[in-house]
Amino acid sequence: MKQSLFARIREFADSRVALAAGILLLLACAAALLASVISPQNPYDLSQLDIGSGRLPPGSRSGDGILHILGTDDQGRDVLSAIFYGLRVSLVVGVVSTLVAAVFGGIVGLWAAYRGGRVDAVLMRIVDVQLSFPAVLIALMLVAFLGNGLDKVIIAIVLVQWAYYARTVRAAALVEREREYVEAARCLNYSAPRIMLGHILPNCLAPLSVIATVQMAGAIAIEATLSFLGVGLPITEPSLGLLIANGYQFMLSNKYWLSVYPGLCLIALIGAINIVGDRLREMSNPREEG
Amino acid sequence: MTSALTGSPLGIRQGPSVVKTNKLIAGLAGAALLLAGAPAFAQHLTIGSRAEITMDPHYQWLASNISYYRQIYGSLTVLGPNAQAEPMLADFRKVDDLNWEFKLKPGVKFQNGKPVTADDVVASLNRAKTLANAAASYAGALQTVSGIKAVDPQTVVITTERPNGNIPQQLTQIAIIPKEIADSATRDDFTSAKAAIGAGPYKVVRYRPGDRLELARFDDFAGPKPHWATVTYRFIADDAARVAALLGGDVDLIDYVPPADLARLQDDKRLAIHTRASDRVMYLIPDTSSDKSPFVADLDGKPLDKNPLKDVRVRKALSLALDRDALVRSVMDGAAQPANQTVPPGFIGYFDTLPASKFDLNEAKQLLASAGYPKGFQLTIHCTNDRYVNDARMCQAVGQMLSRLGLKMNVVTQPKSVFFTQMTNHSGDRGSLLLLAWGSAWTGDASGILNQTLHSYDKAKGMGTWNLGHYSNAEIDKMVQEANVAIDRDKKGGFQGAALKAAMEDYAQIPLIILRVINASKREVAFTPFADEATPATAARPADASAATPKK
Repeated sequence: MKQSLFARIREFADSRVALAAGILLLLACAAALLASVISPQNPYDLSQLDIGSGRLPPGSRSGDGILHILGTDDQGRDVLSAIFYGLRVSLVVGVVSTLVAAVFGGIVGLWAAYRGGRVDAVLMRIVDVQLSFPAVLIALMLVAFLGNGLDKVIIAIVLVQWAYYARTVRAAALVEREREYVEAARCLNYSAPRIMLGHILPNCLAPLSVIATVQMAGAIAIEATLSFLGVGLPITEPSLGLLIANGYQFMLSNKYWLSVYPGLCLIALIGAINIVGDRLREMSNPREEG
Repeated sequence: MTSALTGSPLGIRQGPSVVKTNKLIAGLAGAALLLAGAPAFAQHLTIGSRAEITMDPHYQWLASNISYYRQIYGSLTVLGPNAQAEPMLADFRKVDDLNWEFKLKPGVKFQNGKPVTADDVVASLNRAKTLANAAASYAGALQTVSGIKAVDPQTVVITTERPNGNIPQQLTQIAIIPKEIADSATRDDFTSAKAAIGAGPYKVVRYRPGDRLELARFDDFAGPKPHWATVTYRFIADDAARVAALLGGDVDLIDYVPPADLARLQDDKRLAIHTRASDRVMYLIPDTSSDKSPFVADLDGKPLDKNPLKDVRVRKALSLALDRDALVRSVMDGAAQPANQTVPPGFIGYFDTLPASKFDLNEAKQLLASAGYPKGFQLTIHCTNDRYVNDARMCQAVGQMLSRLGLKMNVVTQPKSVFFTQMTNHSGDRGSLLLLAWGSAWTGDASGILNQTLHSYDKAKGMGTWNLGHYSNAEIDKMVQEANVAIDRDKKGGFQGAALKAAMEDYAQIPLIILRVINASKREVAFTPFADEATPATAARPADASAATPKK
């Protein structure tokens, strides 16, 4: 049953909360995309920073005339600009690592379900072992091994998260595998990849997309945690997590704005993604209506 | 590793200033009440410490370890607050230019009840010198020592290969343990506290790695009896958490107070701040030796055909581009002072008449242009992020200032384990510009900085171990060697000063700031801060009645 895009948006907007979260998410994406245009300062360019304008409270104006609506951090970085740039990092990490992990984990899950037997057993034990460790712990070890940098953080998150997708897709594919249309495809002697990707996968997309939204929020949180612990991104290109970590050192001296605004922003971003994901799941599953 | 980790120069002879002592409108009655009201406090002390102890006393040469060892194991001599060497387990005298006699004080005992003998001392010093697989060998602290001999059960004679007036200073670094333990104990025996037996004023009750160290007073200790019957060190590496623990009343005394919190703590009437100049100078090391420096490139990231940092004009430009007053004000919140040389004032070898470091961005740009880099180049600065106070923030601020000079700066901050492994690899690529801080307490003069960081690297002779830019200048080497063999104190100081001045004028090192030591405690605890950043419980005592009186 196909609905027009407009009708689907209307249905989505039936939930006021989801609508607000969706708008918030769009705003965050816009801010991240346009960061270099709307930011009063490039917070990643050291030559634009002035340590003399460090830790200015919100609403101050620094020596070069920039109005710092949310204040500056200890290096004289405009907090608002740093948040825009930090959002960009968070969203890039979230989207890229989710896509890569979903593709990789999805293929593993399909493969395990379709083959069954020993392949299935081996793959699922690997997944079990990985799921039994806390995600952040594994990511921390991986980054310590791989080194700092955006690409390394993404690789670490993919390696942590693929197992969730593999598990989910396998479960869905196991059900689909027994259906008649798969039986029919087999009788026609279709190749295994064709059956898996062309026939089984499309019917597993619903659970995959639900878990993807949850995991995207998780990926953003892992990146923030790694940066907070000082092992993620370079210190001169702070993400939201690193901004919180740097600012937290000043909490006791009442310089709250260094940490609190990036923190609120991170909470809002992760919350919005989760709410949007929940709403999409409700819409795809008529039994939850009501 | 030596003094970059350990030391701090002694110097600055100003006494500790206890901030807000003058709030003492004392009422004797009030004081008595207050003291009576806190009896438990008078016997037990809890210290929140940034650095954890390494239990094996000869395994890792770090100032933070020696702060613990001086209380547990003890040593022949011990550093006082101003980093002067004082007798501890032994009295010492110079026999002649090459020989020092250490006579054990009568009645010094180990915590297992046995007396300390010359054989124990010899075994301990030998273990410190030769312990296999040491993470940072104490051999460096025994530099120039060629003979260690027990002449009778009470007397040890130490012979040096050349005249060395710093022997009493150097021996403050070596913990003394019983011979049978020195001969056979493993690292695990120390970590389990089974072998943690020394002759210091406190014995180990329990050590929980990553958490705490519990100590109890050793009542047969021959020296001054410390005030506290029991002491707990809690290891709290995070600055904010350590301050919070003090504010919350969980600990009585903390070290390494972050300068950003200083104002807030000073305003708190329940607390006292104890601060003094450190013996540690923070400075930059340029790569002055490589023909192609590993972290220098042109603006497009392509390697340059020569190393611009070999040109003294470029190094001078870097120094001129640094606004040290701004670094002190904005990075260190005033808890530092600008440096113009890598030894702080008060130390032998400090060069009085060296002009203050200048900040002049225009002159710096002109120099850079005249050296052939009018548009600058790309340069990476490497720093630790968990070793010195505000090291990572200092690193970024230096990066900022140098990018205003027109350089394209990359800032890399690393945990000290990673940083020191890479930067002390004398045969491979290290870095192009490094941030380090050096303290000279363990030598008491400029000889540490000169021998270990400025003299040409010479592995066989143990020279230039911390000369991480491989700076090499035959004239300076000659002056350093002359200073080493000079016996007369003034003459030695003269040679050291001349060598240091020549190095600073050649921008072999770019001095930034002299750090401050900041401790904070509950108001009821008095503490004498140490130039070498040690925080021994023996230096803490109940504040006197007047200071303990709450302000009306």
